[in-house]
Amino acid sequence: MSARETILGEIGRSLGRKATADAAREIDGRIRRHEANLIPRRAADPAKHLALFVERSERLGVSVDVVKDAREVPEKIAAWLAKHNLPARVKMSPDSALDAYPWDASLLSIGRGRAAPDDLNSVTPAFAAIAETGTVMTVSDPARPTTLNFLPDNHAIVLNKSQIVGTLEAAWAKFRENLGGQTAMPRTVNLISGASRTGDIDARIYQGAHGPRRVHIVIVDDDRT
Amino acid sequence: MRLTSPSFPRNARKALGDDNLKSAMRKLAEGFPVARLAAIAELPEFEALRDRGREIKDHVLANLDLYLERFERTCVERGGHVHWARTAEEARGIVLDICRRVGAKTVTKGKTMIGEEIGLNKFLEAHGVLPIETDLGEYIVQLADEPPSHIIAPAIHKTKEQVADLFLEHHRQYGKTAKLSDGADMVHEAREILRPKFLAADVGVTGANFLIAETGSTVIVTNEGNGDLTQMLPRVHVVMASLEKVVPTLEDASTILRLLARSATGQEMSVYTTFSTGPRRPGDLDGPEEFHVVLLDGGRSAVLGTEFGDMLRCIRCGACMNHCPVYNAVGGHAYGWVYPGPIGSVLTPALQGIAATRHLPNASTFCGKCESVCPMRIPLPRLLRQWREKAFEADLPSLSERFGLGLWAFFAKRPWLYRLATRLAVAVLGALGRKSGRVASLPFASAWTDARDMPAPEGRSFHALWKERRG
Repeated sequence: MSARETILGEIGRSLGRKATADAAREIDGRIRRHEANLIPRRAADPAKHLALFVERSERLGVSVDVVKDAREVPEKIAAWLAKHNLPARVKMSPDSALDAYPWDASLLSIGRGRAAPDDLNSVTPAFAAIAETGTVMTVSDPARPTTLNFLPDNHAIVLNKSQIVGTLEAAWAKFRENLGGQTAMPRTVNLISGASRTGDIDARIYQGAHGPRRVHIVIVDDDRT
Repeated sequence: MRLTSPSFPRNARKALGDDNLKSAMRKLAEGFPVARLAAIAELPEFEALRDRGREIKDHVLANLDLYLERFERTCVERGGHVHWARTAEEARGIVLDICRRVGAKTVTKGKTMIGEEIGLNKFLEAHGVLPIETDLGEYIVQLADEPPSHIIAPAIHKTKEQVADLFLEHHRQYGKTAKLSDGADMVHEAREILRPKFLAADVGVTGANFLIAETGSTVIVTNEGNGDLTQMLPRVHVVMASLEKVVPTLEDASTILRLLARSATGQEMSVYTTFSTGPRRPGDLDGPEEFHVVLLDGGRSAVLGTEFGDMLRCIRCGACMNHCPVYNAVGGHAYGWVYPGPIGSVLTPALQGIAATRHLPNASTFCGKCESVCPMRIPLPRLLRQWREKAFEADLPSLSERFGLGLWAFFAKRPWLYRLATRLAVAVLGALGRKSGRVASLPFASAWTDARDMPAPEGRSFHALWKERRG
């Protein structure tokens, strides 16, 4: 008997039943409904999502700029790099969403593509941002390579205010909307809550273990109401 | 991994005399439990979330075969490969076969307790594949050639000084000849040395905090980002998971994520939570070309549905050990296998047999702190008690233990005699310790009094007081 059959058989025996068609239908229904469980009230008010997201991000040690005009994005990123004495050179996702910003007007030198080992700074878009915990959600696809989130020392993330949702569950829902109710997961979904850190030496927190030492978020306030 | 649980009493005695361990463990008690309380204070729904977490896991365990089949189907639909392993041996073989097929020379590893459970590192090494731990704590214990002593802080037993010595010894080959004293410098040095190894590895092995039946995804939760570099840079990503890691939906994982980091480190979310679904897609610029999931049973299917089934809800946060007075005193190595602390004392007998592990359920004061902090509400004291019963039924305790228990039972069954004896004991111990308020040595209890004094009883026995209170 294969390992698979043995294990599934042993589970069935331990549960004292054979997997019935009824049980299978119940499981199927539960997955199809994919109901949210208990949702904390912290992020209940959409009017406060921006403020909550900024507060939670800053508590995680992330610096945040909120700009009214998309044209300010490149200069904010350039200023952040300058403030930390970093070269004005970034590797950017080849995502057309980032073309909306006037990079040419800044003094940044820009490469597009996946991260190379010597790329010091990266700029990527976000898929969503979660106010409850100050978390950024990114997804992978040909225009959004995952290496940009992890290899460079400094990671700048650009997002629109309208991308901020209250909870992780709301972000999953957004996902499913885009895909007509199905959940075709991207290859990689990253939830990023702050900069890389470790507590493995002396039970103290040190920043910059293996991933980015610094994370900066620029939010474009695209709220036209 | 080699089991040294049979010598727990000796291991523990040795640990109690280790001053380095003592000073390292003090930091644990001051760190995680305090941060956990602060995080919980900010989430009024925490207790209710614990109930939901328990319900999700209980539901999954009651339908485990169906959810595993569903996970397998969705994972394969997205181009992943699912391998089933009954035993540690089978799981090791599966990983080695993958490494051999792709001609792997080095394997980077994110944190995987299943990897520890099956002794993956030693096995790969013996077969010509070099495993490189990349989680800083795991890297430190790999350099020291030791097992991890905590499930989320593997090197918690090492002082900064000890880490500096290890780095000096092992980093000399990279031209690092200065002994470091600053923790930040040590983190930086490890980063510098491990970065090229991430880039050169042929296979990346990670663990899994969840498997999602709905989407066929595996999930890892880390703070360093090492797990992500491990899985995105090599050609092949292998995920090691045990059966009970599966949850139905993304929403269910989200609920448990609210419990996990808060209970573990006191963070709201760990820095990186990553959902991986299959290999690189057409047009992708990075990501692994192959995606494998190894599902290990390792004795778990036999625990299901027994009086020990509750332990399978564990999400490996480490809260029970962080709060355990015994773990805090003896550290993780004394327990003698992969999982230390209260959950380890329950899991190890189930997965390795009670005969070799009978001391572990006794490594408890039954203070109940573990159950009170367990996010999955696992009744750890009850499970420990059940293992004690099993050990007694199997005639495992030594003659003197059995004699002691027999003696106690004799008195317990005769209340008048019991009351007389306790009254006498209280009077005698009270007299012995009248001056200092402590009793420093007792016949037959030197194992206890050698390490600490017993507070001398004051006044009367519990029975006497109880009688008076109730009028």
